[in-house]
Amino acid sequence: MNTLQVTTWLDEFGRRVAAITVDTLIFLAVVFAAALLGWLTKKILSRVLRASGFDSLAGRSGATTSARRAGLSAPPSDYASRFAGWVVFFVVLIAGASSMHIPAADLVLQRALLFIPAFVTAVVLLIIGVLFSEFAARGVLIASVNAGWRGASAASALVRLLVLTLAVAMALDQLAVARSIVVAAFSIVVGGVVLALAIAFGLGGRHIARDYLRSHLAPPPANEPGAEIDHR
Amino acid sequence: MRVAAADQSIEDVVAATGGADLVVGIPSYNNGKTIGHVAATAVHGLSTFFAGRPALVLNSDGGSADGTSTAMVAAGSAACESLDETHRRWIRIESMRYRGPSGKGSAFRDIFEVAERVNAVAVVVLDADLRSVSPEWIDRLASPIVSGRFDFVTPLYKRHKFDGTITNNIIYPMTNALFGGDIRQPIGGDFGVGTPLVRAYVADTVWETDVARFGVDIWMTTTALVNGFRVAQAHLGAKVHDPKDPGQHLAKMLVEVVGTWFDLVERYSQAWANGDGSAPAAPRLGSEPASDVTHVNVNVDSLLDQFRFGVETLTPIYASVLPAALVERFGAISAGAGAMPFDDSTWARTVYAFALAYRRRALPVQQLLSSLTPLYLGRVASFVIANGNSSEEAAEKQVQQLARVFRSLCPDFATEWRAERSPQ
Repeated sequence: MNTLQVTTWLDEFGRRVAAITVDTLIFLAVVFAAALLGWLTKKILSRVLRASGFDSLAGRSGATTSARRAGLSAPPSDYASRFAGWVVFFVVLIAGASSMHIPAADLVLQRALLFIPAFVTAVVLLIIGVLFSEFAARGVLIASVNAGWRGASAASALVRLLVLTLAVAMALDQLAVARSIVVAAFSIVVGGVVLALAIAFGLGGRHIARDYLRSHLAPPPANEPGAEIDHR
Repeated sequence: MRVAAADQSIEDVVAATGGADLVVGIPSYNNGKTIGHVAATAVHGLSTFFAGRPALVLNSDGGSADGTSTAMVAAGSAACESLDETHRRWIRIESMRYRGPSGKGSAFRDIFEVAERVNAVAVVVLDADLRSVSPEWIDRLASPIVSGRFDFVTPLYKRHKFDGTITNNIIYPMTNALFGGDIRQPIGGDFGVGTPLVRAYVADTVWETDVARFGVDIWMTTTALVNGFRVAQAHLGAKVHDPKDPGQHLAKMLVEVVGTWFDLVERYSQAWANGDGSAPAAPRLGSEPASDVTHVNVNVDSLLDQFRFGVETLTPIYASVLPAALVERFGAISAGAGAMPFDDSTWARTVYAFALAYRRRALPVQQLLSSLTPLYLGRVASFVIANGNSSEEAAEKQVQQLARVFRSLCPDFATEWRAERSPQ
């Protein structure tokens, strides 16, 4: 290797190092900008949600109870703003990386953009499922207690499980995650529950079924607690 | 006397009547077996106590399928026929089909509208299923108004000490604490109403709400108290009516009555939340007629069992909407198996806490109010245990004591109410 070759190699090396350094600095700037925007989104959204009474709305809908049951003890506005902050971070990061013409980033961006609608739909389905499961389970619990039915807690838990199962299955279907397995698992779970109920009501619990139907389709028996009183 | 066909409109009735000093309104739906007696009694009451004054006995029906209107018209006309000519020509019998949502409130609305348009001085409304109504009821409900001394007359029934438990434990003490008036039967069902109040009722905008369906009684009383109308109470003796609807579950009844009541508490919060809107006690007119009440046997074990089961199962729900100390107290009372009473203070705090939870819509309204049922049964059980051997008078003193407790806790309730932000 002569002196000219060494010089050329060093020049090329220098250019590449400079280019990589610039790209790295730009990438770091993009990361910083993404983190900053994500953090700002989280802060602003958190304040807006708290000021608009989002937490009390979530409490009334039962979402807070469901979240606590799942071990999430922070206010719902905290989770919502954190989620939005991370979404902004990744979107800005991928967009920034794409603008640097990194082939892998282009591919990731393309896939992410295609995935976003399904992802948002799945999240919405899950949120609705959680809210509705809480509402339905609580309604069943209170109505069963007032009817004096001792299986109130079990009925309520079953309703919650069924609604949540349905919501999770629908969300996974949206995301196209192991579709055939999800459909099969869902069919097995729901079919199993329906079969168990049919057996329980038809055979083992026929007296309960009779009482239940009687209490809902016929006037309450004279021995309903307090039936002898004219309450008004 | 004129006997009209059933299913008329308001216009038909007004045109046929022309003018009437008194209107006796009878709302109905499938009361064919009992309405005849009420209509005939109304005719006798009018002819006995208001002879010579033009009067209208008006049935406002919800589309009965059992010939209610026909039975009313037939019985009313037969009663008129039994009068001498000078009396019978002043009394008209009419029946019409009311408009709007199905319910007693819609029936009342059309009765009031007819009364306003025929320039009635006083309106008396009577339940169509009454068996104990007497001609004196017309006198006692209408005379204080015709004399110009009062605008609204509520009934004072003689009831068994264990009857009227929603009235005794919720509606009476809370109405009295918030709005004053000391109205013992705010949701009695039979009332006398004067012209100014009739106009106020007709002009109100509540007729498409739950008031039209099932909350008209408490709405009428509260509206009269809040707006400064002169209110009196008339002794009517025992109220005997058809056995209550066996299809009417307690939980549903509680949701309807208490839901309407909490709506009114909200609607008229300006009148009570500052502590300056209390009406003077309404005088109790006349003497109590001699009458026997039907004895009520209560199965306390069943009430306590339902209370315990409710507290045991619904505690997580109570904990999410009620103060922790109150929920702990439910647990202690429930564990006492009847030995520890659901005392007045705990009960008043419970009702107020539910009213606050209702205001902030802590749960869907139907679920929130339904969850009150087991606690209510626990309170009723305590009352029955405490008054099992008491006289009617002693039991009434207990109710008055509860009313005092509600009043003493009302300032705290008002403070919390003002601090609470409405979800709207």
